[in-house]
Amino acid sequence: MKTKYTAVFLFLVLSVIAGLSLGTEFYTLPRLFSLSPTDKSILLNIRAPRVLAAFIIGAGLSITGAVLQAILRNPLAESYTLGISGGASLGIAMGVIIGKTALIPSFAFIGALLSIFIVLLASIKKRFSNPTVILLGVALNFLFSSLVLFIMAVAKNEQFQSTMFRLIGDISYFPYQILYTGIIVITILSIFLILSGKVYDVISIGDEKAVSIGINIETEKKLALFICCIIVGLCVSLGGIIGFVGLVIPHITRFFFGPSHRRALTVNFITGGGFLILTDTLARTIIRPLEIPVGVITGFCGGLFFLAILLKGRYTEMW
Amino acid sequence: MFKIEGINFSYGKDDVLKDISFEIQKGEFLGIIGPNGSGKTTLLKVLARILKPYRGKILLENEEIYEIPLSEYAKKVAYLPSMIEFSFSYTVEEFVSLGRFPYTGRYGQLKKSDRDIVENVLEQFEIGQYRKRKVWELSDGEKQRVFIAQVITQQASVIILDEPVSHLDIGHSFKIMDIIKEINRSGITVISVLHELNLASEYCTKLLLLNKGSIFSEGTAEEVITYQNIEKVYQTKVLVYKNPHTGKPYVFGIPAILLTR
Amino acid sequence: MKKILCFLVLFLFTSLPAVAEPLKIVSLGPYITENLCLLGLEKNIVGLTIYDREEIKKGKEIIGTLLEPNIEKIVSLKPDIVIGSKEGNRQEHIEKLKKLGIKTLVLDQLFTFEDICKNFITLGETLNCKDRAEEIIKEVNKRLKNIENITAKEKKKKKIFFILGFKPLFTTGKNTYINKAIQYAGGVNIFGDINKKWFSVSVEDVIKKNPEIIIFLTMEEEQILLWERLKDTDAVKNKKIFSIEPTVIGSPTPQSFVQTVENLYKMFYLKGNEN
Repeated sequence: MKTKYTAVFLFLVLSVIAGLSLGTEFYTLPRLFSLSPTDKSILLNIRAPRVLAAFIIGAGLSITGAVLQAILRNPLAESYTLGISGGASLGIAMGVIIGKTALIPSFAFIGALLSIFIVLLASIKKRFSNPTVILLGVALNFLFSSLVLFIMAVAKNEQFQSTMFRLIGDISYFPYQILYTGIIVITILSIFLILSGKVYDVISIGDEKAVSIGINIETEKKLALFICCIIVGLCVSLGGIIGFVGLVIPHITRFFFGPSHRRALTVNFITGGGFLILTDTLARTIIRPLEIPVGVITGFCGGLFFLAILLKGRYTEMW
Repeated sequence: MFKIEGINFSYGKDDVLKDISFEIQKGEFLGIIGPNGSGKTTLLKVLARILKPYRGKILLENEEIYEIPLSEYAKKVAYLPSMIEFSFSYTVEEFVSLGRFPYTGRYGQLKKSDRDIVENVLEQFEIGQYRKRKVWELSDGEKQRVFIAQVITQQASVIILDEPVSHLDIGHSFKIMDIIKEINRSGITVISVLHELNLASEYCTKLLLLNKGSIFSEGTAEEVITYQNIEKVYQTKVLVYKNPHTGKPYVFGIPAILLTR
Repeated sequence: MKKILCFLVLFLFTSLPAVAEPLKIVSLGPYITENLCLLGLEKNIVGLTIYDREEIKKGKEIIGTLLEPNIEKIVSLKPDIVIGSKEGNRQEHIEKLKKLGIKTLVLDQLFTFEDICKNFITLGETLNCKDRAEEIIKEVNKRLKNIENITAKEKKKKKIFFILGFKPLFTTGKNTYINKAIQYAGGVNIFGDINKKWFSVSVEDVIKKNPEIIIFLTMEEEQILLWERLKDTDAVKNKKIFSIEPTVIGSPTPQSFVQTVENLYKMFYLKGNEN
């Protein structure tokens, strides 16, 4: 077990190093001792914030993905499948159309909250079971996506490309203010989720079992959903809709570290962060100076990942 | 111990439980039997606080159960549903340890005392050898031992089981029922829905025969399992004899097709 | 008497064009329109696109957009000539008009200052005012020479970063008239050594080149995000960030070109702070 933990830590360290050193300039260790003002500017104003953003987004999406999978007892659950990301993308599209690009992060956040509100409201009023909640999320996604496409169709040309970038996941342009808020909020909420790991362990074996073991299902689920929503909302406002991180990282973590949530959520946080730092670095260096939206790479990885599992035919083991 | 007074429950339109009242003494092994749809599982869930009746009172040791905080109730009453439908690949040890949650609390780690209890239970149920195996890799019989083991770590004074052996073969059925009887003998009150009338007859100290949401008959196996009761409730002709080894009533079903010969 | 008669006949012939019907022109885009106005032929425009300036559109018919001109509308106006450009308009529309027997003119693609002037002369030639066109060009060149003399005195040329678009970050290289305008105005395009026309750059590249002045086209709130990242460059530190009219890029005329050069010169060397 110890070696696995060190592996994870090393993974993070390597990702951070890669993220900081790669770009138009390649910063190796010796160079760090003779930095020109330009180098310092690049490192401090561009790379460091970007690495931080990639970390916190990856961490947030991974940890919420794992919690959602436990709460809904569905290994395919993720913020996207619950319509959270759909609502956020609607918020982004609205912000772009109205022309208030500075407010886009807030709109994304509100959109995410809106969709989770709908899901929560429906499940409370109608006492939805978990499969129904997921269906609702899928339905919401379709609805929101078509609204987004409609908005894009009537949008002006200049707005189109920047909307596209945001919707596919892109960490190049985010306000630093939101980054600082995001880091603090996401970290605090994640710590809470990690400490509550036992609760999610119990919920994952059944609602009735959970009640019998003394957990107030209604409160815990609502609380978890709400926290996930805030985290995802912040992630989306920083980097747009980045898919598959919340789906794939929890699976890989469970495979190597087991499903016990205290442990798994911590590892998810670190691995997810490192993973997104790496993919983002790849996204911005692979066809320099053009940047691929990072969502393209995570989507690609996610697709390959699931193909691999299917081909191996051992998908139940991955839970 | 348990006093149930005038329970009425409905999922929406019709009443599934109609004005149910009965008592359970400490140390009893109560078997709840009845045809499909008679309300057996619903009654269990009401007792386990998973479903709330719209009318009536339930008292546990003279306390209204809804006045007891859920975390405290979990230390008194433990429930095992008929199926645990999903779980991540927890190991047997991890899974059984989850039963200690009411004692460790939300943030608590397992203390040595908790670990000791888990150890004892693993031994008691002879699943210590499986401790690092994934629960889902085990056979049905072994899995059921794991689930019951988890319930035991809750250290509740009342255990509620929903059809604990219905999906097991005859060998495993008896093994599990023996284990449950052992638990009952150690002083824990057991309430169980049983599908198989003859198992109920053998193992339970008291029976509750439900029919269409009401109590049709209440008492010992001899009192409840009569061919008249069974015919009335299950709408099928049966013969009831005494089991030559145990003296308990034994039900022989008579397939209608054989009757016409 | 004969002399007077000859003179009268000659006079009639030369003044006939003046009495004849004025030329009816349909413009297929603001680029054409602006150049026509410069030639003094605004009154001759009977149809133009929805993208043209409001003042010019008064009293004229809208014939559609750059990409979708309404062919029927154009034909109904019975124009003498329809003028389009290789940039803005699609070949198929031009072909359709030709098939309907309408005279068309398509201006070449526009990359350098020479192209702007060449197209302008072509317009002049086709529309019978070659002289006026050449005069304007001469005037423009004179003004340019003027500026060149002034800027020659500046010892250190200012380093300019020109932003065509923010996302992705687009700038101009060697082979465009924007680069030329910057040069005339006494500046140096930080990417002016790249042998391309328009291309994207990374923010890190910009930081490395450390521009002293930044020019952009349109106000986008997202800019703040870019300035945050460029905050250590001289341009952002000294708040030397300016914007210019986008029409200069989209619809340049020889005159608007030299006007831009003069404006740029003012921004580079004369103006104080702007954001």
